[in-house]
Amino acid sequence: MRDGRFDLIFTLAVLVVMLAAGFVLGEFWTGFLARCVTWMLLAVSFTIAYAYANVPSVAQATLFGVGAYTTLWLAEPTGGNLVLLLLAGCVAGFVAALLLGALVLKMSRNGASIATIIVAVMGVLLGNASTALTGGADGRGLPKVDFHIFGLPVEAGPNGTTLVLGTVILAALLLGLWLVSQTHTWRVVRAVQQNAMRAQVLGYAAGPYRLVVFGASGAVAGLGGSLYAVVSQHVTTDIASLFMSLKAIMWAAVGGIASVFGGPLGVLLVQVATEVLSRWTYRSDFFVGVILVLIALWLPNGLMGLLGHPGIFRRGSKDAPKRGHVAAAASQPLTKPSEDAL
Amino acid sequence: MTVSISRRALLSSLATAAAAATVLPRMAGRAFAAAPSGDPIVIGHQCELTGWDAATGYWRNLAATKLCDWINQNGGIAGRPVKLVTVDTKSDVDVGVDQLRNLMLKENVDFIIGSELSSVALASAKLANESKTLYLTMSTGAVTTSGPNAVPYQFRLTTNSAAESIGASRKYVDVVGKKWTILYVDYAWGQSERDWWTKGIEAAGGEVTKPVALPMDAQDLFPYIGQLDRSVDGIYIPVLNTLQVLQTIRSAGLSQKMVLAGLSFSLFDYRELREAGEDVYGNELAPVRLQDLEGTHMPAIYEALGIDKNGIETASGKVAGSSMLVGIAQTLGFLKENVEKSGWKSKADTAALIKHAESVPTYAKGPLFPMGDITMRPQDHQAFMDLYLVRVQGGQLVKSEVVPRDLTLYDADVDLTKAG
Amino acid sequence: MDWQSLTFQVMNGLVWSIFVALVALGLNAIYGLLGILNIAHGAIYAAGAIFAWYAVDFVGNFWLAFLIVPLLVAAASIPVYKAILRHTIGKDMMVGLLATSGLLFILTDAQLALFGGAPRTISPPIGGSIALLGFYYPLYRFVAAAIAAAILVAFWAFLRFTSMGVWIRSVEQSATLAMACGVPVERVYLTIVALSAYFAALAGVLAAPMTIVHYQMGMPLLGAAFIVIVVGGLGNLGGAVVAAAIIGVGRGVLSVFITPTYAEVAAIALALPILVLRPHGLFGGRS
Repeated sequence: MRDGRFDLIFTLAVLVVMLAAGFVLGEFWTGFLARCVTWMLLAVSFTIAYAYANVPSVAQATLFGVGAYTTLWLAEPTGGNLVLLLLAGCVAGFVAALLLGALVLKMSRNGASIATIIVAVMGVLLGNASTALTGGADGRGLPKVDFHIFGLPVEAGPNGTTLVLGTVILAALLLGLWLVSQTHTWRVVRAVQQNAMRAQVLGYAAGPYRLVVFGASGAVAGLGGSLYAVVSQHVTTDIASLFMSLKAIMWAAVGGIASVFGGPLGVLLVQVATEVLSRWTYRSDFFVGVILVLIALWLPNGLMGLLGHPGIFRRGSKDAPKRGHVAAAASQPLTKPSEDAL
Repeated sequence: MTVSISRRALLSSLATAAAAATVLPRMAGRAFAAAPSGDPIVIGHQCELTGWDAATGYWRNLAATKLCDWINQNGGIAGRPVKLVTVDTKSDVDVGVDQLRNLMLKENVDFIIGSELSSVALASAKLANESKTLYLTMSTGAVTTSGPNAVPYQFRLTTNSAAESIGASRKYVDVVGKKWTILYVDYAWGQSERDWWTKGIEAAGGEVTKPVALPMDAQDLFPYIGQLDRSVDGIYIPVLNTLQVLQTIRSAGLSQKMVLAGLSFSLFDYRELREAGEDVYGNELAPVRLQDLEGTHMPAIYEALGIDKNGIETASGKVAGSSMLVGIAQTLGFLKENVEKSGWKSKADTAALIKHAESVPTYAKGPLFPMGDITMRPQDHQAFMDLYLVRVQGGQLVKSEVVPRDLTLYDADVDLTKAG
Repeated sequence: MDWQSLTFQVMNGLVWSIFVALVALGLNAIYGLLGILNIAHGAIYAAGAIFAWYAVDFVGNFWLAFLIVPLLVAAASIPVYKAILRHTIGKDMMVGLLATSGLLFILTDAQLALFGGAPRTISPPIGGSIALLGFYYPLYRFVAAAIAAAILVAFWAFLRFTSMGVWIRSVEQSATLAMACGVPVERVYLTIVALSAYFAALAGVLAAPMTIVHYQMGMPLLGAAFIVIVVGGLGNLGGAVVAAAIIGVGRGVLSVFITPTYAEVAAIALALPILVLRPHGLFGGRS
């Protein structure tokens, strides 16, 4: 990960400011930002899948939903133990991503993206039909239990406690990712991401590395979903929809797709802008659309680009797609299926 | 207010008052309502102004806005003006809940007219209950006032899928026939409608064969419509893409009578059906044409909302979502009656208002209960009202039958009067 | 085994698949040839249907709307290309996705403001149904499928036999070399974007009498369109038709045996083994 210390410090500073703002601006913003934090985890999960596992996954919301429903179902059996619940959400997301990854990593990049669309659509159709399990589009409420973490009571819902909890978890995750990025293992991950065949030739098992990274993205998504269930206290199949996944991609892209620190910034910008605009007009979507277009034109590397971040492909890099070659480049599998076989 | 009156001005003002009387019915015991004064009663309105349910949200927004104006022109509630704050849920649960919190925390509303979407309503009612803000749901999903979802700070002044199915199905066995099938959208609402309709038809001596589930967002409907049992008398259709389904059913050569699930005619303009709409039935809280509304207070509401005698809004050319209008009117009427009669002054008095409301079994026909008396069941805070079977005939949406509210009753599975 | 139902489902699946391939055609052009992940494709499709509704309402003639509306939408895409899309070509696909997501929000909100949230219909220009295999099948569906097929063939011929078609294919292979050979690359990009908008709007116009006209009508089709173009092979027209047929026929046949929701799920799941066995899609990704 080439994000560097500055990017980490900057993002952590933004999170601290966000946390402070949540308390200074009042209860509404506290709860609003608490939910935003859960979406930040979703956005980070997409960045991990796209930038480091090379899977343009449109099923991250499905994995988010897996985490959320896991928390709903296990809230009572675990007696509201948040450590267990968040861990369960993580594990559920990880396992689901491994299963999905085992399938999509055999495909081309475009094929993998489409496969994730298929899984996302299937998930919602089945989820809506299985009302007894999921509540369908009406959703299911979080059971009324006494939630606690390390013995400390945690009140579920959009409030200061869940904002602090979520922010601490997110900050710890970002710090953890940064620490991992300093390791040799991460250099291998980057090598595989840049050219899997070359990495394979050098003796690294590209397939398993990509699979584990994709699994990690699922774990982060599942963690976000688990937290979402606690914050929102109500989970519907809408949170696992294709449209939700597209929002995750949009947030990550606004923040800067090359950096895991971009997603949180993207969520903040888009969601706060939408909320503020909706106080003034019912046409807030129109203005958000204008903002997205302007970011695409002026900040193609997203908000992190303002910090001088070069993006996935450094200028002059051989990996940078050339004009007119985009389609050809995009249709090439980064690894041949036979070499990726697990 | 003092008025300096010349003879001409007096005659003119009397003429105006007489004309206004058709629009602004007199309050009992007062010739002219005094302007409301004091701190406003703030009513939040959680409405689908954009998103896939925007079509029905249009009518709820119009009704809430105009009827609050009307209330203010007629002395307000308990002499206090009403301030309406409307927020857009974008037909999305997360946005809807955020906007609910906005209403409660920033706008400090006293009461909330809730969302029509069950998902938003279910999530919102719990939050409103926790913050002790009265939530008047507009959702018609039976599940909203059932089991753990029934909460003390929630009332429903519109019908629901259970009441509508139980009541209407009995009439349809007489009007259409005994043998039915159901084409339902395969998610919570459609499944609920399927189950309640089946119960109602079977209770009335009919039968339901081979219901067909339609996957959500299915674009090509022929594979599923082709599976409908053609030997039935009627097809019950709780779906979201009603227009497309009706057209496809007719073009597939099925000539059975079709019945749309509750309040579906508020989702679209029935004139869009053209020939395919003939003999399509629906279950509504009110017919649309004024000639079918004689003896009700709907003409006054139509006048206030700019709707003509055929049920068309003059400004937009749209057919009125009459059920939406009635639901909002009854909700506001419920608030007005209970605020005034319980002595409610502020949110601290809402618990007492609820206790009072639980002791009121009937709300009499009036300007804000335009279609007739309604019954309030205290156990689950669900109101029961007459249902109107409407039918497209000769290109018009006409009243067909009336289902008295007593026939729409079903057993409550909760008792909120025992809640603290 | 109800052979009649089964045969009907196969026939309907084939008819519908040609239409889906037409919906995907515009996306195939802009994504397959330019690499722009056009999330706004569904909104352009809806725009075609909405403008057709207005045209039919005012003029009373569907075929006039069919001829004119797609041209108007294509014309409107030109300034959008020059101001926005052209700057995303050659960059990471997320840039294109972001720009088109913005366009989706803008278009959808504008359509809601103009058209309203209530669905409407357009009467089929050719009415009536024919009795077929124990069912009645609307004549218009056959006509729409035939028109869609003709358009697909015409576009194939355009790519094969016209100068612009050759230029498009050369730019898709190597823009730099094409430019060096004197191909007006900018004009080619503009043509592709305009064609993409044209086909999307045309599909919307054709679809309107078969479905409904609603400002969000394009959203459910977006996923299906992406699936079809990748499974068929990016840029491959015939591939898109075959992929759409596999899914459409599969859905119909399966619905005879299992519940509709499971049939829908299983039908799209058919694409998964294809993507594993043929990573470039059924026909390899070349037009």
